[in-house]
Amino acid sequence: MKKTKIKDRRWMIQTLSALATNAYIPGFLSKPLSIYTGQLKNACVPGLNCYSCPGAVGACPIGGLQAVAGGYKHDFSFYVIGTMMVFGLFLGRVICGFLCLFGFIQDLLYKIPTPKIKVPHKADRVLRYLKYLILILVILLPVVLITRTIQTPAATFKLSDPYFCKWLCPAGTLEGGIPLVSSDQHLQQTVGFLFYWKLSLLGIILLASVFIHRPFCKYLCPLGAFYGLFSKVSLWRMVLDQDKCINCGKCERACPMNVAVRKDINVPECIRCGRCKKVCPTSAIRTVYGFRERSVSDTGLPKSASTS
Amino acid sequence: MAGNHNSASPAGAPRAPGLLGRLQTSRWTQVLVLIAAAAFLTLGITRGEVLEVFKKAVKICLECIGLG
Repeated sequence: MKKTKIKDRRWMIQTLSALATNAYIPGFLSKPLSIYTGQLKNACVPGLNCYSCPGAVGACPIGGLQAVAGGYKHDFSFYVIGTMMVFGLFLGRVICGFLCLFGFIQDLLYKIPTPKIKVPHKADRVLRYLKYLILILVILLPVVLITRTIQTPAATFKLSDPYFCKWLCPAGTLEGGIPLVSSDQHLQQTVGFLFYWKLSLLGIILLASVFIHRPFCKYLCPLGAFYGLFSKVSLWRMVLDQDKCINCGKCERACPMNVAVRKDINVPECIRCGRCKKVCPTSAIRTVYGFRERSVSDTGLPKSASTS
Repeated sequence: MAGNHNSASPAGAPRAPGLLGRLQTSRWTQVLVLIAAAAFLTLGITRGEVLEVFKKAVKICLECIGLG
């Protein structure tokens, strides 16, 4: 009974988070659809949530990062990276497991009862590095691959596209592209190759999500890659109590992200979904939150950290 | 500063972390990350980056929706 409650709680948080980050109802009610233009858009939301979604109340961190780097004033966004660092430190990949709308959509699709595909271990290992490469490109490409140069007598301004948003991001197509284009005849007239490319990519990712658990999060998401870098330093961590562990391996078999829980529980791939904790027969896995105490490790409970 | 394993490990259990592992799991690293994040945020805000993010976020991003 308690275990069911834990599972339900995650679904509830995911639903509430999706609603909270897309709470601008007038955007969905106007004809054609419109987007929120208020002050909240100064701030970034923690998950991958396109700011062109009619309901979006905040800025997408990856979009914001590229917008600043692609503009003519700065090559690097300290503001967005700083925000992401705060999210990474205080929550880490809990954001992927609990707060990201696109992650939630993939979770829902994976619930469709079909035979599931387990990506071969070697391919899986290699593919997981792809998201780090994408993260590097997200930061570097707007700086090195200039799209337009504006020459004035005083200075030269260099601008570049948000390459990830433009060519890869399925969240933008799903949350912004489809609703906005389907409601606006003027936008429909501008549909071309790029739209169909992004639509196809979205279709492939959504279809893959039915058979593979969170393929976008595992292999492509630069935001997940960034938060993954904070897995060991994040205030929200998992702890495997070696005194209680009977080495049954149930946690590893249950982990949808294929984490070798007994080897290292706080790896970048862990999205803190808590499934390992749920299946552990001896309650050896716990969640801790707080700054680390001296003389503790992830194999024992920190003295002062709160547990859940 | 770093963590010690406080219990005997069963077969296949993790080994004690090396220097990098100890650094990653130290409280000071967490504090340093927090200080760095605060410094980044302050620098970004003073450079006017918030306005740049805002300007992009309040207009329909044609690239994001596949039209740009």
